Amino acid sequence: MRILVDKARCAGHARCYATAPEIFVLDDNGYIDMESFDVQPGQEELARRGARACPERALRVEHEGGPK
Amino acid sequence: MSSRTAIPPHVPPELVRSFNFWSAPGMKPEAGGDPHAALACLRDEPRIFYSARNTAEGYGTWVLTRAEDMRAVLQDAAAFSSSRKLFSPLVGEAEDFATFLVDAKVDGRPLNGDELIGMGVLVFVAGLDTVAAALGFDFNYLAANPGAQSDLRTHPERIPNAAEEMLRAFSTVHMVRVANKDVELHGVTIKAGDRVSCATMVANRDTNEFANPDCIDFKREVNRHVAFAYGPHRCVGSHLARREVIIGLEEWLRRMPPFRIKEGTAPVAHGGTVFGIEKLVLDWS
Repeated sequence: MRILVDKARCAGHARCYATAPEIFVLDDNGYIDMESFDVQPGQEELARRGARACPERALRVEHEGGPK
Repeated sequence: MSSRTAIPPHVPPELVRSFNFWSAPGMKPEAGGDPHAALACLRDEPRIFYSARNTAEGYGTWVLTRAEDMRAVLQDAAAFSSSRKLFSPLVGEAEDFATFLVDAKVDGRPLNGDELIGMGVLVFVAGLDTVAAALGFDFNYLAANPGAQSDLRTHPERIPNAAEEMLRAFSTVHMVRVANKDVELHGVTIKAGDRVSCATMVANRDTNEFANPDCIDFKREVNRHVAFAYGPHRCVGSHLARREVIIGLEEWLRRMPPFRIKEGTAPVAHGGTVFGIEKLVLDWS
């Protein structure tokens, strides 16, 4: 599973971090500080919840093969 | 009728509605009123319609009824500016917000005195009545729903999620944007200079966006609400506001016995630019 990050769309709500601080990295101003990334095995559900917390739709879940 | 309140000729008559956020049913301060619930009437309206006299200053606005459209407008700060076009390329490294403003240059010039005072007033006012209004609606809901109140007393760890849900259901700010150029939206032409209402309380009850939006669910998992707006002008105080609401709920519930709305009284809530509760009498005797 891959998380697609649209950095230009991030407005600094920090809801991804509030939901999954182990996964989402913010810069000092509270904006997403990551490019699109592959989710570590076992962290899929948390990553999905973090991505689905973004009010701006700056984070999307991309499924690579396998069941959705 | 002054030109400010006249309906511009480019507005199709079939898209004009009498609804406005001050005087439509449920918006006026009334005992027992629920302005958020009253907005359900907008679900039967078009995605975009026009309302004369729909800002604090009496201007007409295009009213958006879908969260998706508000997201498009608020994220496009080039086409739709806030009334205060003051955030732009900045000079200097500021440690604090006041210095940041004093050092700021917009279109190559520093802000003048009125603009600086305007920004200062905005920052203070933005934090004054919004959080107070949000907590007022939260206490009102908890007072009227003893099961929900008891849930948070027994499980204080659920307060952050409950605070988010109440920010969604009882959001307080009706934002207005001004079009900088002509923009086409769902077959409607928003002309440069037109105002557009992006009411967070409407978006947050959008059935296309939230399952059972009128149901307050402290366990709601997907809650991408817009209490703090969308886009580059997202509420600069959102993080502080969240802390204030959560701490307010935690400390109140920890220190006060179970409370209810005082018998013989009814809360008075209202619509407008900032929705609020102007009278709420709690009783814990």
